[in-house]
Amino acid sequence: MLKLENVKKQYQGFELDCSLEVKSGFVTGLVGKNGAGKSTAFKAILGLIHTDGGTIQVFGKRPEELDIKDKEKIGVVLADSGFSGYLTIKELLPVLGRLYSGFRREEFLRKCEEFELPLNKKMKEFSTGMKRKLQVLAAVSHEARLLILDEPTAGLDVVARDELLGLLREYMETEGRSVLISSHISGDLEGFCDDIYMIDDGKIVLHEETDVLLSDYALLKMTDEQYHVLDKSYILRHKKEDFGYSCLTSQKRFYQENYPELVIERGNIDELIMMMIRGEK
Amino acid sequence: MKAMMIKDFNLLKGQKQFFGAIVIILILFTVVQDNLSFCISYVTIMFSILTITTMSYDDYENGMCYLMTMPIRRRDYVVEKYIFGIAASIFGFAGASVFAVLSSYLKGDGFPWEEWKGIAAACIFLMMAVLAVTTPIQLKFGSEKSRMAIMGVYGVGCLCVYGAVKAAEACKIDIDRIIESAFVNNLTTTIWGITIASMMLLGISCLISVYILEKREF
Repeated sequence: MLKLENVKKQYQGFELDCSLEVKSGFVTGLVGKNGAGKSTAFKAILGLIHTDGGTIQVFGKRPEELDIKDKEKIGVVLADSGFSGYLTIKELLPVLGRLYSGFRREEFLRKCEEFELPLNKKMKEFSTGMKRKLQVLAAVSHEARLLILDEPTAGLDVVARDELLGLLREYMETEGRSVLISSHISGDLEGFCDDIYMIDDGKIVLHEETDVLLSDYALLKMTDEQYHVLDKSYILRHKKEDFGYSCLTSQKRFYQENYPELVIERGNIDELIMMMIRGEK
Repeated sequence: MKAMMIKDFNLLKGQKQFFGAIVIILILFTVVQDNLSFCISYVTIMFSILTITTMSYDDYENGMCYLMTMPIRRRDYVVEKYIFGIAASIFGFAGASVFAVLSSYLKGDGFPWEEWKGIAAACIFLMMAVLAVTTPIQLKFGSEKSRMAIMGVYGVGCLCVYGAVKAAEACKIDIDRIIESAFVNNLTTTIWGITIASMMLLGISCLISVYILEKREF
């Protein structure tokens, strides 16, 4: 569905060098701190920036080769951009209807009502959350095969986030659809993604299936003495702490069986990000 | 392209104050001042910059970035802006002309059709020049930075015209006679000449704009 191989983009003080794949029927997450390169990767996929190397394939084509019909099959939410604020939803309807042959107007309107989005108010007067909801609604309302969602839940309260993720789950019920999503709220990704890529300083530092991430990855906490005698074969990162060391492992069971005295915490994605970025190899 | 056209017309619905101001100026200069040429050319130019207004609205809060993810070819986006600009200008020119004709006949003065033809020629050139110059600059620099760039370009343009007039004077070329010859004695030829030259200018400008947008990063 979507494949990036060694995609490079150079900016002053930053270089993206990214490889990732979104398979058909998969929800793939991209996590990383602010400025890690998530939005740059999204923009490269969408052909909004020119890359300096590597290959991107969307539906088997390079972004610049995508025609109008191909673009109709992509639904997009961008973190820093959206519909012109000078339009109302009512004015947007004929535009979306013309742009997307599969646009489901009635369902879109029904969802707007459900999400309490006013039809006659200029979008510049919308809150960030309302703008996000509208973009997600527009993205899922035209039979897209691939959703590219950059921070779709940013600025939303817990209830709205849940509603939106529900909408995305509903979208994924149809076979052959895929989603690439980034979010800084790990809970959103843990419960929604099939696999997760972690990006730091423009590079993919980890790729794992979410189930494996949550079942096999763990944080080990130990004293200095315990650390020095520890078998470090399955330690991905370590970090000095006041009490001794924190270590990130991808083989929780190995340490549970061989070092029962260690404190072993089930790692969530936030902790994983912290350790992958701040920990030492 | 039709979707973009609908969007642009919808964007203009919010320009009620702009259109209100135009109508007031139109009334003042046609009915009170009886200044036909100013009135028609002013309205035409104001309508020709509406396309720039829509581009500023597209650019609002980085909106162009999102727009370019939609099923729109960059080339079509540019061409639509030119078509929209020409259509808006023609509408403005025609509206102001109809208003001027009605006003003249209501006042019992009769309408100066020969003068109107000269104004039409000047308006075609002005409208095309505004579109041809401002559109690529707007696309290249975005709505914020383009203001300075447009002012700079028009400033340089004015200096060039001033320089040309001074040079002609120095060479003892009678510019008034040339203008009179073009706009009085050979008006039809002048109108055709201006139209063809303007269309060529607009075509070149459109190609430059397409190139700029194809290269632009968001």
